[in-house]
Amino acid sequence: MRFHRITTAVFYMFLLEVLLLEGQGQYAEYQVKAAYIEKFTHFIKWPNLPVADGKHRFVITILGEDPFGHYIDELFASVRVKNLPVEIRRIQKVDELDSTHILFISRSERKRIDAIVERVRHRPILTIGDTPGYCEAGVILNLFKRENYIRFEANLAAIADSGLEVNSRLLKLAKIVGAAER
Amino acid sequence: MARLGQQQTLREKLVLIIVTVAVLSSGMGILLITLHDLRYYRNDFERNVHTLAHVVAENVISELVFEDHEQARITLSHLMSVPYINKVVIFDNQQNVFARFSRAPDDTLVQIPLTTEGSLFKGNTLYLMHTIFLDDKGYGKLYIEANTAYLDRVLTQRMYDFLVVLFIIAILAFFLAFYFQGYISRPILNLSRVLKQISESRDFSKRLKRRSGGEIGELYDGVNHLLDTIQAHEKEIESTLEELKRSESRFRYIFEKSNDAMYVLQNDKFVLINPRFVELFEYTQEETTAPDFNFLKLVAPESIPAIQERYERRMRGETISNQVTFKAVSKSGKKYILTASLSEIEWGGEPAILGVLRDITDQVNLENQLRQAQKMEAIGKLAGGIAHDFNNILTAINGHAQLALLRANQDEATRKDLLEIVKGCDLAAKLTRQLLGFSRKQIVELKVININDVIRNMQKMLRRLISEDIDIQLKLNPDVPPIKADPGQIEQILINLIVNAQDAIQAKKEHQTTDRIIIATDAVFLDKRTFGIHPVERTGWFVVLSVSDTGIGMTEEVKSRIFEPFFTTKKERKGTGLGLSMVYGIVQQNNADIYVYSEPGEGSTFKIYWPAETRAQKADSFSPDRLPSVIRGNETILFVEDDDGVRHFGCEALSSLGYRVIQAANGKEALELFRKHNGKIDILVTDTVMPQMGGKELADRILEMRSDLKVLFASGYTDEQIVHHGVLEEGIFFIQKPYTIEQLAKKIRQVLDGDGHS
Repeated sequence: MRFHRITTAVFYMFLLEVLLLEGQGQYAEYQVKAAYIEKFTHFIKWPNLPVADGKHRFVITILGEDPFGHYIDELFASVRVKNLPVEIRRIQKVDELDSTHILFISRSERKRIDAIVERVRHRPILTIGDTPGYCEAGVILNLFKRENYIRFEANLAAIADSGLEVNSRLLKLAKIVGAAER
Repeated sequence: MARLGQQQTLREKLVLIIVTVAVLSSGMGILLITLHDLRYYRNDFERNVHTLAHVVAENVISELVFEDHEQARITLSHLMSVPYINKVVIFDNQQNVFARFSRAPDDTLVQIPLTTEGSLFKGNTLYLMHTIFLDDKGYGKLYIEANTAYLDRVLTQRMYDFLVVLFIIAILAFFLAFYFQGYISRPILNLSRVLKQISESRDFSKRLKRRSGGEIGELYDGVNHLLDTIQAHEKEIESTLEELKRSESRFRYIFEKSNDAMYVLQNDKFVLINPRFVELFEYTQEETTAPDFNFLKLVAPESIPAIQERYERRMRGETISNQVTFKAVSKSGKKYILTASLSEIEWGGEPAILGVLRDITDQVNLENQLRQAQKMEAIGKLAGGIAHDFNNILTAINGHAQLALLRANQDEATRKDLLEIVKGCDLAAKLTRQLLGFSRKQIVELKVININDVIRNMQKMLRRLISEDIDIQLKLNPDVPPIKADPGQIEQILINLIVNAQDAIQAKKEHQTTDRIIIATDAVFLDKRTFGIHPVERTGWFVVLSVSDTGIGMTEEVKSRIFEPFFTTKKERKGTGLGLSMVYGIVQQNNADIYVYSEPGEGSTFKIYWPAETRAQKADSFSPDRLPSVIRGNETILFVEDDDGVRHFGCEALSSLGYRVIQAANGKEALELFRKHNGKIDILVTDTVMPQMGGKELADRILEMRSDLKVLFASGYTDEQIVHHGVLEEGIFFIQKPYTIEQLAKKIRQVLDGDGHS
């Protein structure tokens, strides 16, 4: 029953999204990318997740220019990750970065990428980007577009560094960049 | 498969049973295992497919989540290596086909038999629908079609394997059964073999060796016990049978060797006869016991009415005697007198008659003969008694008549009368002689003679005796042995028989052209076997004199009386009735036997059997007595005679012939006179039968005093003191009364001169 309700809800939501994407190409792309972020959470285990007691939040931080707009807020407003309510934080500088579970590094930060990567390195933060070269730079997951499908690449070394547990099934779909160095 | 029937041996049955049980139980086991496997394999198959579904779902979750169709297809394509997976389809949450895999190249998704989570066997396909979850969220559905043909193949393969196993089990079972059945079958087969041997050899002394315990051991003990019983029983049966056989053969022996004919008559048919029966009646066993044989064929015609009457009375249910005497006739016509002793018996469960036939022909004949002989004896004694006294009277009459004649001074008329008296006396003397002949009181002197000589000497005389129109034939066997007989008596016999034959021929009204009398002699050997026909009480060679005629013959009644004195069938004055009586007497005296065979109207045959003289003695040739030339003498004679007439005549006659005569009226007187004149007396002439002292006693006493004294007995008939059966003892002289002077003188001269006998 629950499955049906969820399925029906998801179904209508997707239907709505598709309708919205018709007129707003750019947003439609990030809409999908926001959904991808949500999907990634299913394949990642965070070692420092708080207990679901209603106080703690699952934190997603967007660094730099926000390409998602309100879509991401809307998406996570209704969806819980790891049974935790989701909090979207937006920062412009890496120094502002507090504790977070996911760090989306916007295209705008491509010049400072190495420093950013260095900054979150060895921390259990899932770094996600959608800029070419980010993965090589040490971002864990990097979205790209191919034949009208959103695909992603993964840096195994970065995963290893982060201490996150990434489901191999996720990696199966990813283009692997770099090997675990240690 | 061989049927489990009677024809199989125990071994085959055991093997068959063991193999069948083994195969059946193995088969059942395999069947159960297979059924179980079938279920297990299905479940297992289902589980496998479920597992596979899980694995596939796990593997495609990311593709589904990230909508990577390409990767999903690649992932599904790996299912090619799972042989039973026919089709896999991944639906997304919108029920669209996200990715698919199909083994068949041109597959189109026609119809999915189930839409919800679960599995379904349909035909040889397992349909399965599995929801793909990721963290409790369904992202789509996995649909699998798995072909159970693979499973069936596996099961089929397994069945084949099982069949092979079953076959191997069957073969193993067969060999094991073949090997181990011996534990059961061997003792039983051994039992059967031993029993077979026993039953074939009938040797019940064999016993089974008990090798094992249990039921087989008990069975062996039981069989051994049974054999003990059988052996004992067999022994008993054997001894009983032996006894029975012995008894049977004993009774059979009695039956077969019996001198009495025996038979069993059932429904008027002979069912059993003994050899004596065959011998007696001359019908073979087969002829007699043939169904169409009429038992009345064995009965002589004269006895048939009596037998039939008995039969009818029996049929009427009257009680009849179980003894019957009747005349029987054999196949060849021999007649017997039989006594039948009859018993009612059961033969083969039905009433029958057991008959024992005794041949009493000889007995009856002997009885008849004995009766005849006794009768003759009585008549003879009577006749002899009369003759004795009559002879004395005759001697006196004749003597005195002769003395009167000697006196010359008689006139012619007286002389004539005296001669008539003498003539009458001669006739009377002849008659008494004949009577005495019959009564065997005639004095005979037996000589060894050839009977043929006697007959030939008489031939001419016989011819003269018989009328010319009757032919006399002599059939003399030249080789007849000599006999001991009195020739004169043979003459008498022949004359009497021939005269009798002539009378028989002449009594016949129609004369045949070939009227004849046959006189025949022959030699025959009689032994006990021929006694049936010729009941002579002796065995050996006999000379047969037979006289046959073609006359009127005789009836049985006449035949039984012909030898009686004065019995005659001839007309008055034609016969004396003494002829055949004399013949009978002579025959008896001569130690011979006479038989008569006669058929009324056909003729008669008289047969006289003389025992042949076997001693090597030459037959004296027969010749008439030589007459002594001198009849006078001067010797002294002691003349003893109780009859005054005779004494007187004797004394006078002897005196006239020159003898000195001392006369005595009785023995006592004679003894005294002898003592008085001893030495002077030359001869004793004495009557034999006298009161007080008989002639023999007198002679004995005198001979004690003078053993060389000559003795001459005179008698009307001889008595046993002097003669035995009319035959004189050695050295005894005898003169038959009545005698003439000449006869007496001649005899005395013979005795005194020592000239032979009589």
